[in-house]
Amino acid sequence: MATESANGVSSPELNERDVVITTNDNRNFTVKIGVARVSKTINNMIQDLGESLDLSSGIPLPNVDGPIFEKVLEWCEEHKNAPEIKVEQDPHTRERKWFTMTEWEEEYFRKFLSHLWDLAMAANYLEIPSLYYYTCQKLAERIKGRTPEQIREMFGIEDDLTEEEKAEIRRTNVWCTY
Amino acid sequence: MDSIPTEVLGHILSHLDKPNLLNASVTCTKWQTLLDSDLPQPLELHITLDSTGCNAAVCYRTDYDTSITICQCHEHHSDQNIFLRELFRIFGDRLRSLTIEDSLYNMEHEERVTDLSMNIILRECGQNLEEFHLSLVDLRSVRPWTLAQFGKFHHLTTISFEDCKFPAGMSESLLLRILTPSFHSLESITFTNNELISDKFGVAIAKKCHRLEHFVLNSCRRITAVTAVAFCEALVQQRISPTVNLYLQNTAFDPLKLQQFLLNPLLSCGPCWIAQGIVVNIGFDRNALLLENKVERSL
Repeated sequence: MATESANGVSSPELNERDVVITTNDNRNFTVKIGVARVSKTINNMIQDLGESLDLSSGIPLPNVDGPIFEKVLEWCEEHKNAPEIKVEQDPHTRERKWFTMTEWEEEYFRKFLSHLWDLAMAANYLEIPSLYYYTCQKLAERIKGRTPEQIREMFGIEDDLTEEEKAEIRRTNVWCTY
Repeated sequence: MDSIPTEVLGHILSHLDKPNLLNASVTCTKWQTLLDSDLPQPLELHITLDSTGCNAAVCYRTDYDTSITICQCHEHHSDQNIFLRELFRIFGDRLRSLTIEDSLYNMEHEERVTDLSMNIILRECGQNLEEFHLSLVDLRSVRPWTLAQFGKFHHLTTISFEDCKFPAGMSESLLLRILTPSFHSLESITFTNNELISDKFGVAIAKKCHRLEHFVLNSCRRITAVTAVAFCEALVQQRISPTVNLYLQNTAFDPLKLQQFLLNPLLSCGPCWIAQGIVVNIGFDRNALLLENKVERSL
């Protein structure tokens, strides 16, 4: 396990113990510590509390709601023993190298395609690098090769540019409209 | 959408390569601000007018060359103009070369580039263009005064209007006037298949453009030997470029006429040219005329 810690709370037995996590809609999730600490945020909380940790009272997550946390947990379960991932750049073009996803991961994102933004934000808050990077890549994939109009449509972006610009174009073209 | 932290958005967008970044940056102001510093700054832009796709998007790019396709149909018109405008704003004054190619002819109903699009292109493309190519563009819907914005370019070296149609109000003098600021730098001028261009234009160019090396007037039927004579005269006077290649296929140019003109005692440079028929091989053999000045220069 990547998260060997100095204060001794990271023993194999501990990873098998349950911890209760409460999301912001007051749902309680009972999770194995080994799974929960894929999230660095949760791992830090567990470590900070150390031996005094009362596993039954629950760790509150004010920024994540139940349905999303459920999905995140699914990821954590799969990735509890996965090594840390690294972001790499192409040395020549200085563009980011894209990760290759496993079958399971592809399927995971297919399933939750409509929740990519929520997943990215949750992963960011919970500090789950694998989920965060992969979700971002998935989102980038959806932007790639699309026209601005299609991007707006897909992500429901309000076209503030257009209105403003339309007005300006009309203004600056007065001289040639008569 | 507004709730997405900038950090997350920035990370996502950092996956994209340059053309995709350009597309993403013109979606809304927030993204644009975010991407501002990462955007590529190409030197060349190729605009294709094509109504089969109706998608304004940057489709291909190397480090120096970008190409976009836009349509001119009524429905997408204003959106695409805004897209163009945003792109030009990003490119700024760095742009060196602009090409507009018109593929609208294939459509069943006749479509032309609109005055508004042309206006935006000319107004926003920066002042430092060195090359401007228009290919097959039907400019009949464009006002002459819109084209007059050509006058803002002061360093054009290459200008080409291949098989373009000019608007009704366009005159040779206006054309000359809008090109005047670049006369000192022009090295290559191309006007093919053009009804408007006559010897008046040719003579003026011969007199004014001292750096000119290539002057292509193929299929301009109003061009005659007079233009060639004008170059003969101009070459004798001060010129920076020692030779000029004149392309006069399918024009009213007549070598016999030229000979008459060159032997005319009223010719200001005197009878100092020797004409010689040669064959130039440009993939196939083509008759050419080599004019040699008794002193040293050739045409």
